[in-house]
Amino acid sequence: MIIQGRTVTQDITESVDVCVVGSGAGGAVAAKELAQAGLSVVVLEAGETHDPTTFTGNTPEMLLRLFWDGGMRTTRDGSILISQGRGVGGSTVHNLCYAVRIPNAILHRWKAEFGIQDLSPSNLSASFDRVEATIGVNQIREEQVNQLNRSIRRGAHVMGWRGTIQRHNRGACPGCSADCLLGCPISQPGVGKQSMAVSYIPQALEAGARLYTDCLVENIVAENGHAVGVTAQFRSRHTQPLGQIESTTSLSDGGAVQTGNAAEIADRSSREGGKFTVRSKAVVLAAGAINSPQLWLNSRLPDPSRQVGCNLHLHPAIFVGGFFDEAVDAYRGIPQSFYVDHFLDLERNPDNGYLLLPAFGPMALVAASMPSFGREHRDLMQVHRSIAALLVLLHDCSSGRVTVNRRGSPIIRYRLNQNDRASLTQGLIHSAQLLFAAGAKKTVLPYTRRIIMQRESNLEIIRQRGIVENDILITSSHPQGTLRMGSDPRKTVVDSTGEAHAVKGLFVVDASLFPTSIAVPPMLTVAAMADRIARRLATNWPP
Amino acid sequence: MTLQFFNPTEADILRVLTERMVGTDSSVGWEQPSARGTSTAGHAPTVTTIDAFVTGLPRYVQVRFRRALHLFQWCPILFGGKLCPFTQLSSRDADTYIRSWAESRFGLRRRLFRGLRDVTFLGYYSRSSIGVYENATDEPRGR
Repeated sequence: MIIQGRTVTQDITESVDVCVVGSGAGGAVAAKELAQAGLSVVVLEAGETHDPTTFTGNTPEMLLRLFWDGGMRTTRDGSILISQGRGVGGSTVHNLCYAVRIPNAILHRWKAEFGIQDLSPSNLSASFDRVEATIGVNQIREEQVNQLNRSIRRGAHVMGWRGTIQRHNRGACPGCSADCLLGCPISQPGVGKQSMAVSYIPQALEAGARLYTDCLVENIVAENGHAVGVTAQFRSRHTQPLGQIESTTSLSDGGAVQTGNAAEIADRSSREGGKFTVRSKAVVLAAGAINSPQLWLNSRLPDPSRQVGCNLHLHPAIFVGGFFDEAVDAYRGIPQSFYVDHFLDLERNPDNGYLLLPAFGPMALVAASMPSFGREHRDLMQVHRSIAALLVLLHDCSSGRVTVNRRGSPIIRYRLNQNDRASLTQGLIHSAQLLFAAGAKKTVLPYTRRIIMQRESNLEIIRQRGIVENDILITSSHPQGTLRMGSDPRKTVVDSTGEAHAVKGLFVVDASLFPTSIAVPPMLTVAAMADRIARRLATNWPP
Repeated sequence: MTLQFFNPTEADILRVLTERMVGTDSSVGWEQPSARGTSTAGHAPTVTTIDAFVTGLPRYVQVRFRRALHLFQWCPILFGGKLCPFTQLSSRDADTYIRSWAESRFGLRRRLFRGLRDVTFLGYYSRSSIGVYENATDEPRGR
């Protein structure tokens, strides 16, 4: 059962076995496993529930609906834009469905450095298998690889760099457009994007879990060193539409342009509704690597290791655009199917490396990724059909921190160290080389002052320019590591079963668990770890 | 349509900012700016879209955006040596002024430039009526 929190105006109290905070890749899996084990479960989600058929592809509307802070969340110095999903399904609703298992080298490192015995590749294998079956992970077929990804693959082949077509969690997918990034409008079981909202959450509900939306958890309550529930606030959004903005258009499967009704952007500034008190025997924290430590700190839970909020990794990413003579039409088809992992050698270099990912998105986001302004910028946008782009996705060893301000809002501090700056710079150079090898006539980088490189240009100009905060657009979609796992309570926050060292009955099942960056897109690993932690909790019930 | 968040002065700043950031002016014929400094009774659709977006943002982001807008409006006096606000600069001076923010040695000014630029792009390129891709025949319009 889903209860729309915005309709709840009275204070209510509920007693259950388990309270799950968050409904994304970690929370949804935990809720389903625990509910199917026969435990009574409530899931509290800060955002709303979505009907995918209402996903319009209108960028500002969907940013407000699917992302924390309307996609405007940044590090404290404003240099890194952090996109995190909000709403039922969390980031799995807007992500681009790379389904990649954590590299074994990372798990071996966690065992050696953090004493995590429980997460060997063989131990996690069954969890990965279950998750992959539930969200329909399958190999992307050759005919689904779009022109953008083919161009990138061609460039990698010319350069002799390793790369592969990946697996994804989409069912029958017409590959409608880059608007995939703004939610899949055909998503339903077996069809389109298999987010948590159409896979795990329905199964959790069927097993008896109750899901409250628009419910912002304010405190985790602990008594005598044991988590005993949470207090939350229902958010009652103003629901009157601001009116019709303008009619919007969408690209259908066949390429014809359809005109739909206007996007109505509701005023999402919210006012408070009723208070919600949940008493539970266990609390499962799955609010993401920014909001989970925020909630911990706001709850004033014990932090003897002083590691809560520390060790933040972001997988910083930078866009490089290549301009071709012919149309690439990168907005068509599945946006990401191939990637280059040639520069990730975790056995020899566990702290360094990067992936080169094809990248494209809605026009407003592509525009933001282009350098300059005015006529210069417009000249670039006018040939958008011939752009193929890459993202350099850094396996970062830089470490940031999440704290809270007086109002309890998260403050995200993160600064790239010299090693990571050098890696990112090298990644930009490799991206430009790959694009030229693929046939690009020029490449651009998203510096505020544009750099346009021709084939014959000396790419060392990138090294000279380097990575300077707020001089180049850096984005992040994979925050991780702020409640890190490990055997030593003096250095880590949770043990290898996911339970907090200092608060019994409090379990963490999101990317904040990761002791280091995991180097690859994290969705599948978060879900598999949540599966393992939840099943163990159910087996050893009560905590 | 009545704006929810921006007052007429702010809407005028946004409108001029959009013209300069996106690179549209009357010679292009896509968007006819009204005379600078005049009433904003006829708000440009881009401003309406931005207004709807900003209205939905958390309060702290709204406050920052509003501050940035006013800072940008009044800083030609500080950074450009011009005794007039941004909206009353000539096109050439406005572009020079914007570039001084984009290429400033101060990170905060570069940050504000990028924030304002990207929000104007969000408003502009999300509009269906933008014909920026007129050289294509079957592509999605601004969304």
